[in-house]
Amino acid sequence: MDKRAAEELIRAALRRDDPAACELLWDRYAGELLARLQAVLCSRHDAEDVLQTIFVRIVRKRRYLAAARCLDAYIHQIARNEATSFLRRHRRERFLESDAPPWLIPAEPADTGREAAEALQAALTRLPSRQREIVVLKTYQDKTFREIAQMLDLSLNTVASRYRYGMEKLRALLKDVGL
Amino acid sequence: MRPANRQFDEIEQCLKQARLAPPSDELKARVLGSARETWASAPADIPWRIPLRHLAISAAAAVVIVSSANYFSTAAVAPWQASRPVALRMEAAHSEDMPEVPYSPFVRHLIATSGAPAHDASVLLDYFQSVRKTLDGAEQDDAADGSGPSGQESRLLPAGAKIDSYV
Repeated sequence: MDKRAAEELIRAALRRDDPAACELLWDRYAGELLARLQAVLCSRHDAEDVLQTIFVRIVRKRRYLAAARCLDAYIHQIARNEATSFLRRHRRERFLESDAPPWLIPAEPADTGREAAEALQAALTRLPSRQREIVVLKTYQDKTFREIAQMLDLSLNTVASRYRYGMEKLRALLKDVGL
Repeated sequence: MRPANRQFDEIEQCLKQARLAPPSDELKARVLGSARETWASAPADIPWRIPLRHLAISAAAAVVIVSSANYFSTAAVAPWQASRPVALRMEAAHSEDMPEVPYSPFVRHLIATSGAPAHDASVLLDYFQSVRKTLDGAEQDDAADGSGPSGQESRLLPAGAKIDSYV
C-alpha cells in the first residue's frame, strides 16, 4: 500500500472514531518513528517507551489528527516533542546506563558483524544528535533528503548540510577504529 | 560522481554492516494495547472546545489579576486618602454636566460608582474661610489675654489679603 492510500485509510478511521486506526497508524509509522527515536535517544528501551507515549498522545489528539493538513508532519511533531521532553526529564540518569541493549544490530548474524555493529553504534553515538538523526534516516530507512526535510520540518539545504557534516565526522571516527 | 559523494557512499556501505532493530511483536502488542485502552477511556479532544477553554481560562486569569490590582491599589492608597482634608473631597461630578461624553450611559455609571475625589475651587475656598475663622477666633482670644501680637494682624495671612486671590 502506498503512503497516500495509507494516510487516507488512517484519516477515514479517525473520522469514524474507529480504534482500528491504531493498527493502521502502527503499520504506517512505527518503523520510521522507532528508527528516529533510536537515533535521537541512542537507546532501544528508551525509544520503545517514547514510542508508546507517542501512540497514547496520538490517540488523545485523534480529532486533530483527522483534520491535520499533513499527517506525517503532525505525527513527527508529536514524536519530536515527546523525545525532547523525555531527554529533558531523564538527562541525569541516562548517563548512568552502561548495560543497555544495543540499538544497532548486525546485518549478518556473525561475530564479526556484531563487533562491527558495536563499533558503528559507538561512532554514531559520538555524532551530534541532529546529524545522527539524519544519517540514520538516510542510511537505515532509505529516506530521501526531501522526505527527511518534511519529516523533521527542516529545509532541504539544512538536511543536506547536516548529513554532509555528519558523514565527514563519521569518516574520521570510523578511520580511527579501522572500519 | 563527485569524490565527496563517492566517499559518503562508501561510509553508507560501511554503516550497512549493521541495521536498526525493527519493532518487535511484543512492542506492538504493548503499544497498541495502551493506545486502545486510551481510546476507550479518554474521549477525544474536540477541536472547537480547546479555544473556548483557553478563552475561559484567560478571562478568569484577567479577572483575578484586575481584582487583585484593584484591591492592592485601594489598600495602598487608603491611609493617604484618610489623612486628606475633607475640603479636598467632593461629590462625583454630575453626569448631566457632561452630555458630550461618548458612550455616556456607561461612563455615567462608572462616574457614579467610582466616587473618585477631585479638586474643586469653591470647596477649597470654603475650607480656607473656615480655617481663617478659627484662627481669627484664636487670635481674638490671645488679644483678650494680652499674649498675642500687637494690633489685629493675623500671624498667618497678611492684613487685607483676599482669600479669593489665592484660588
